[in-house]
Amino acid sequence: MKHRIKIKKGIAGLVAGLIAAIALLVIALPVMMQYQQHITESYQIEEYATMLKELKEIEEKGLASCYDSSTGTISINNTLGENVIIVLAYASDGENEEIKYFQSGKIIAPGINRISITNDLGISLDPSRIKILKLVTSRGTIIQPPYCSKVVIVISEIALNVVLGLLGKEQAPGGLQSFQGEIYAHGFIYPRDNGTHILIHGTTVPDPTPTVEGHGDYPIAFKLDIKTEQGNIKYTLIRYELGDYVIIVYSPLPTIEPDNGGCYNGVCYEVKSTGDHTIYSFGYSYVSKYSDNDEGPLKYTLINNGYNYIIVGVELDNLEENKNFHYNGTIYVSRTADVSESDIVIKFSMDESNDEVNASMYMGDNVIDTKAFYRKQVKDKVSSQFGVYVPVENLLNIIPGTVLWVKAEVTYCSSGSECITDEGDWISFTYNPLKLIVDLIYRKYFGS
Amino acid sequence: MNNLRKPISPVLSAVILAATIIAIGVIVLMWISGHSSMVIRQSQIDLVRSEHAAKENLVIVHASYSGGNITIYVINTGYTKVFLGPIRVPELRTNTDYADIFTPEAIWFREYVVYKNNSNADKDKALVISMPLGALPEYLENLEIRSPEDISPNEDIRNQMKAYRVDPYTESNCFYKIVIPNVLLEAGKTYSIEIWTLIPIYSKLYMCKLYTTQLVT
Repeated sequence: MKHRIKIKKGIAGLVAGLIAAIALLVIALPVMMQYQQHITESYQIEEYATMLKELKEIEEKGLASCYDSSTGTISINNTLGENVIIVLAYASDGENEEIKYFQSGKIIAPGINRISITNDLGISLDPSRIKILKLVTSRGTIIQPPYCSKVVIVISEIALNVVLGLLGKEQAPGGLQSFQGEIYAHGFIYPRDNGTHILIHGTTVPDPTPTVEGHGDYPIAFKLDIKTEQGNIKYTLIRYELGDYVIIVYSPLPTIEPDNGGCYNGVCYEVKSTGDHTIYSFGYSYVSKYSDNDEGPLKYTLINNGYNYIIVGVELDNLEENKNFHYNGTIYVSRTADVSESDIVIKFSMDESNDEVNASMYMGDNVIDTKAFYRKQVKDKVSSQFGVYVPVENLLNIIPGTVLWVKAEVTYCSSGSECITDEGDWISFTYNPLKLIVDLIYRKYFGS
Repeated sequence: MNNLRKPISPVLSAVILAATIIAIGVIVLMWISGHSSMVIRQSQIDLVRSEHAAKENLVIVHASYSGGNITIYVINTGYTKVFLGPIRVPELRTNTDYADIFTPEAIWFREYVVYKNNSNADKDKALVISMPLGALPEYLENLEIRSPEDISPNEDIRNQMKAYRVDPYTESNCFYKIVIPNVLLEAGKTYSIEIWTLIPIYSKLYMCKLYTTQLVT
């Protein structure tokens, strides 16, 4: 009897505990769910804010510009591969100011754009007296073009796909000045010096292990971070892209060391100097990035002019992955937009796990030795890039101004057996080698 | 035998036990829930504020000084309305007054005005909203106000705030001009300008996001 009572008590206690636990859970559940929702939404908001910030940064970096006060023209090189819309322009000569709003926006198409501040923006201030000029894009990015130097004018006339960073006489009253800071370049570059001055020009390649500080662990291709002693003139340009072209003359002589990081079948150099510099000439050409809008591993087709060659390449859409990639692809360079009649066909492959690179260039049945460059992805920072050196002038016997067609396709194989091939569109590109301006600068500072 | 008590029914004891546990649990949970609802309300305010701050995309185009007035051009390139609250020029602060704080229609301290486009006409002033204040301590801290009484001895005034509504350019087809009148700035000096945006939540105006720019005279 006692035993049965004990069992009954036990069962009753168990039921009571269960009821109490359920009651507690029912009351506590909404509170817990609200907390969970709060945490989730907070993350989403943070991600959204980060995304907006990154979009602005990309737009800032992808629009190189300068203002020529003698003609009242702003040159903007849009390397983003998509239209950018200007909604507002502000100008001031120090005493008077004007602000113009554009209801339908002014479109800045990919490539070089020249905008007259009088005719296109409706600004009535004397162009030669303008001291402050600002353009606001529809994303909220402010473009503040610096003055174009003479070098910029010459280069943009010769090589239409180039807009350069600069240190012109308007920004450095009294001529060229002494700057303190850092100059760093890595890639397929030619250093030439006369004992006191050095001319560095060539295609930049991100250094996987840069010896200068950039932005976290980004692989840096070029860095110019300088200011005058008084600090009234500052200039900073840090680039992480494969395929830019740099021209710079300065003194004193820097440290130059061979460094083949990111380079295949060619000698690359790392040039570095810190301290006081006198910069005599500086030009920089951003690699053009043509967006591939469909789904797939090809994010951009990369093209830029070189000394007497072009660089063609691809950028992969692989930032979400956290591993080394294995991909291969084909790039066609031709005077006609037809794969079957392509003048040059480049086959390449890259295994990022062991840096095994292959690049072969074909003209008909002939195999031509070539050089290749690559940037391995850094998670959440930069995606993989692969570029190939194509000496089009020698191979195709073409002259500056010739229109070339470039098409890229990439096949990415995941760790399983599945492979995805992504094909880009034909891109029209005008060959404008930088050898004329490089030789001009060389003669100016180093004689014939 | 008579001393022996009859045992309580096991069912009854279980019911009493369950009821006791539930009663204590409910009391504890009501306290937690009350506390939680306060925390949750505050977290909801913070969430709305963070979300709005993330979506806001006000661009300060340029700030200039001329004829005793500071002029700041702004454009809303986002997709949500922005409410302009207090503006500070910290360099104007003196020990004796709050000459550095400017608010719409001078509800606190000194006045500033917002016009649509480049107009100076009253008819082109941006819309002003007026609401009770949310979280006074935040205002005091961010605007470096030492005591609520410094704002006004009148509690109704210090518990109220106003804001200019700045619409996205895609809706309004305009930019905005902020004018801070009658300010004496020294020539050849750099001043920082802090613009606070506000956000109405539960019919109260909370501080949302700080925008800063510099003005060189």
